[in-house]
Amino acid sequence: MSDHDGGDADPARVIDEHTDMTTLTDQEIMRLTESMGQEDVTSRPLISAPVPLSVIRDEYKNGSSTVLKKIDWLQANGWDQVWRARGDGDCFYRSFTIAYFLRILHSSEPQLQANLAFDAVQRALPAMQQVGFDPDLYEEFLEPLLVLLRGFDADTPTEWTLIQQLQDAERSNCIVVALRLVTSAYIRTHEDVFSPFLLSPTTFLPLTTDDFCRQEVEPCGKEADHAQIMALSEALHMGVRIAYLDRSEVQDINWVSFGPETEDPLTLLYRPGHYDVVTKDHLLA
Amino acid sequence: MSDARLRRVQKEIRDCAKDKTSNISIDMIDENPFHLIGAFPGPPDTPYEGGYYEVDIVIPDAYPFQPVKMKFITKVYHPNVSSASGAICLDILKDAWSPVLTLKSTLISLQSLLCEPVPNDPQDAEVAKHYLADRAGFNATAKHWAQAYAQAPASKVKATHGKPATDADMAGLAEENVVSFTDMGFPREKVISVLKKLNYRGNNVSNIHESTVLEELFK
Repeated sequence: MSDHDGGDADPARVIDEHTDMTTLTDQEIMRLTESMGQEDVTSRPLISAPVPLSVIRDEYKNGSSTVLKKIDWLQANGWDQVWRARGDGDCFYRSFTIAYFLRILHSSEPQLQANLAFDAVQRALPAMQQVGFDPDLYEEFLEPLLVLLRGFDADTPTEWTLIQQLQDAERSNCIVVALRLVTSAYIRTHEDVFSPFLLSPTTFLPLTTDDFCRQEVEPCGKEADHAQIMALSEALHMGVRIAYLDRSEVQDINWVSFGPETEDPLTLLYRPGHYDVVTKDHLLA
Repeated sequence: MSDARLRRVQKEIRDCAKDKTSNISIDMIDENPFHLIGAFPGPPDTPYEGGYYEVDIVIPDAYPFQPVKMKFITKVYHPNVSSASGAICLDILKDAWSPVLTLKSTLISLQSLLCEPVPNDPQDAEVAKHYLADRAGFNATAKHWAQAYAQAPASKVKATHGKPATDADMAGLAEENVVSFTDMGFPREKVISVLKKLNYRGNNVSNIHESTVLEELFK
């Protein structure tokens, strides 16, 4: 086992309470976010009830003014609720899930939207079979997602019941796996589009489509990057917009769009190494 | 969580028993569905051919979201398997595990690991050095181990001409190299352990000065 020490390429400086927060690089912020996640990862809910954006702002109080300006821009434009996902490497998929259900819930016709979503999932199935996943296995992972979607027919859930359902570990993990498999199947069946972008997140060297999917998409706990986000949004035909809270100097904020242009795309909040969901408060809208 | 886990494991055991073509078996120990023994034949055209390999399988609480734990019960001479503990270095048993993998597909991956060692990501560094320095010698030693521990028939091995493998054979060392140091009065066991550690094999022998070996032997 001693042969596995990777060794850090760049010597990491010690970051403590004396460090000027404005000097943190994105990489350092990512490392801090990750280690934060590891410490209390199991004590945090898989997905939280919404917190006001000001809670996130407080975390950056002594931090980068660039990030603060972006948070203030979100606030000023009505993006005031953050649904936090646990920082365990599955945060993109969990964020996608809650955003997907919130979009249905707050649409003018929740039943119709739930049926459309159900259809979209069904349309992703042939690709999964085509790339050789065992239907017995992936159907088991898809079932909780489909049950929740079918649930809109009987009784429209509330934000509260949705959160409760998605905080159940087994259900939430099944949905994460289902979305990972949908993502993988889409990348594998669209190799020509994706292959130039399939790089190892640690070495930045190109990976084969099979290696990328086996190592970076299918296993739980592996962070999603642009390729995975693009693939999932295309596969389920659902636009995703991500607000980047990084330190790049831009007007307003960087919104990066993925997938098809859909009405009311899912809106995620990205901080280096982590995804949450950001929404406008629907009660006030 | 455990209900789904139990259902899935029971189904996997049933499916594997139904599948007669893969030659892979999964059996319970003491009626406990979460502690199993898997077994498969050594792959053809490898030093492991003819051997029969048993694997200890533990299903963790968070299965299938977390990887199954596997280690060889049968001793194997292979760069990615600890020759002492049977621990296995394979990506899908660690961070490349995915919930669509099964006990059977994982055992098949172990089988293909026997076909294609990954010496630059070793579990057993000494064995990996042997593999890289002297492939023919490595193959012969792996065959000796297959006969001694995995019931591979001896007739398949030309090198021994039916003679039982010696302790030097089992360590992948040439008898004349071992004797050249035991003749100096060092205990045979000590000589074998030192030569193994120094990878005193094939072309590598000319790279290792006698004084280096003696230094180790005097430690």
